[in-house]
Amino acid sequence: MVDQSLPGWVKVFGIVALVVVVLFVVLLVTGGHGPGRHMLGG
Amino acid sequence: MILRPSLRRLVLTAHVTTSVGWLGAVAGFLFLAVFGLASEDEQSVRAAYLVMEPVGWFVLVPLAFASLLTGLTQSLGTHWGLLRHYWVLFKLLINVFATFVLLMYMKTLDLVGDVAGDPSAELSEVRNVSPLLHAALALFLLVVAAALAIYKPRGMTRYGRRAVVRAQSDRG
Repeated sequence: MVDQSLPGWVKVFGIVALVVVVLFVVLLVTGGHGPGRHMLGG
Repeated sequence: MILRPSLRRLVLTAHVTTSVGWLGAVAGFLFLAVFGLASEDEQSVRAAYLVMEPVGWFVLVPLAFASLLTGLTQSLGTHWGLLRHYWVLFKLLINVFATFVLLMYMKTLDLVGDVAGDPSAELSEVRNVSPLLHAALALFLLVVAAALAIYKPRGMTRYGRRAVVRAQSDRG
């Protein structure tokens, strides 16, 4: 018999991964991140 | 295809050394980032930011790809599989994400180096908190990946469960 339940750590990792990826995509799309965005002069 | 035990140990050795090497290289890079922000010596600060791009291309990127390739070989060549266990799947996602961000970030490191090499740029323009933030995030991700590899927390994907059921029915 194979355990069908999703372990708690997978749920936590999944949610964190989803938040990180969404944040990353939003930053890229809105231009709030990327080369030069951290430069003090630029 | 399941690897022979001797070959499996060789690939595992390569995967562990490149993955831990990548983690160590990121820790060294993090030190450079802290040094660049904290040092009072102008030449040292400029040198720290100038060396970041070559360190990225010649140390971080090769180690990232070596870790990814040996990890793929190791998982596909053993009973763990690539998509059967959640811990392997999350390690793969972390590795791919970190490598992708690193490759994108190389453009920023090029710009950081250009500013550091420009004698007309003020030291306040040369100092940059971005490498510190990215190195800290990378270090965190790689420590999580290392912990997953050591603890191997339980949990099979739907694909993995189906593979187990298939193997059980094949055995009779």
